[in-house]
Amino acid sequence: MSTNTDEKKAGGPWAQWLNGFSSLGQGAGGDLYRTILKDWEGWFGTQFEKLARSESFLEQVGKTLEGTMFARAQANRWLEQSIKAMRLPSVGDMEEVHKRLDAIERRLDAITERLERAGAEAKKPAAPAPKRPAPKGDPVDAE
Amino acid sequence: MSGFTQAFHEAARRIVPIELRGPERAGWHTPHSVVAERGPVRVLHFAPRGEVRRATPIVFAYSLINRAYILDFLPGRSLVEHLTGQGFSCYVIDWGTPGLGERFKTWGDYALGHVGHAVRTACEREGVDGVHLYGYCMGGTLALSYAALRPAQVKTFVAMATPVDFHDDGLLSRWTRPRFFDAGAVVDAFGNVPTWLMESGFRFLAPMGNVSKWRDLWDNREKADFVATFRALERWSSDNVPFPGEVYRQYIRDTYQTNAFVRGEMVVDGERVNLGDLRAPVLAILAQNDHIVPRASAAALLEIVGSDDKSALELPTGHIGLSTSSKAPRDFWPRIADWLAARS
Repeated sequence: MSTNTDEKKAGGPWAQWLNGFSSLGQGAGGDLYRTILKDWEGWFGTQFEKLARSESFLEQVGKTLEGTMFARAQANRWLEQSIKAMRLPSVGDMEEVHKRLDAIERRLDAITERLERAGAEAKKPAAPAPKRPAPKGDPVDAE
Repeated sequence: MSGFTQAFHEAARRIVPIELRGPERAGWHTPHSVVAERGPVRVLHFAPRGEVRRATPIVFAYSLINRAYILDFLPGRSLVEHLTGQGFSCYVIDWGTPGLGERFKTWGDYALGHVGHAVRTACEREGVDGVHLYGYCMGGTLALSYAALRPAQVKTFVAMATPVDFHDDGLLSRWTRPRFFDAGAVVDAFGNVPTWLMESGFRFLAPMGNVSKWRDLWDNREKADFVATFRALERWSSDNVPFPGEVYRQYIRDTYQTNAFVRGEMVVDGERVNLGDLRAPVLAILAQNDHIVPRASAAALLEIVGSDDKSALELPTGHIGLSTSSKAPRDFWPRIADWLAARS
């Protein structure tokens, strides 16, 4: 028998209902639920793997994607032409600027790399001159 | 608080702890400084800690697909934190968020430009002539092309779950075959490849994972450590960045479609990438349960590099688990640190 104090502590009937809900998945019922879910996951995973490897499915996905991409690229081109017709700077113009900046950056990188390589070479101690073998009969040999 | 509200809060806390326990902190945890910047790309420096100091710094190149802060996943479970604790000075390339300025950047701009810049920055700051170059996922592929073309400053190379042979049996390899996928059309349509397109592809790699993870969360909802890991992982995996357009075009073409990278036929800024030119010691870290980079794809590196000192470290985890697993700080990373320390 529950007292008023006990009910307050437990949060009342709402609490009992909610606690019951949050305990879903525990006990024998929970085990069954878990088994069913795992079986379903296994079955679905296998079916999906088959589908994802199927050539005809991939061909269809590829065609759909290609069509979508083509439409999107076409829309971009129309937008670009419209903006150009209004003599406004377009994304294409900005892209041209970026291409030029990229080219400059590449040149600077190449120069920096060459300079650093030259610097590293210069830092290396000079290799000692190879010793020439003394000719036979040289007075040094005799010493 | 009324009985109902209190009960609701209590039940909700148990049922949906993810949503109701405050915002998740994304990003880096370990203290660091920004030591170089080029456009959105930054080089972060994590100073070594402890009494031992290793002479050779580590430069990390992470994938362009997600954020590099996976390397600093959680306090106490962070690869950079671990390695700095072992006395290594760590430099991480943070690719930032590519914008219009990155649309026409090439593979060469990233490999020779950004990776090269990070390596030079580390060498200059540390006063050394070489680094441990540490690539993770496709960041490893990028770094490998740098290491093969400019091997002088690469003292050792660590390839963690790095795809090398792309004609494997994985789904990504199959989906991106030229018959089914036109990467150029995607780039022409969008410029930089949008996050939703990349993300949906990865989600379909293991679709049931999107269901089972919630079941696992439910089962472990009272375990604070599990919930914290789950939240951090969810936060990171949904924090994607667009892929620079031209880099994507070349990446898909020269790797997944033609496999030119592994055959030594990839051309970067007019130079052919031959992995046989990489003669520095190489460590290939392979994840046994990797569904993104199959083991065979990553292991192929050891067959083609020109190094005499090369080894594989096979770990019982998945692609992301290499940097986030609770086993990593105890079982995985000390072995990596030992390999690096022996060559520092």
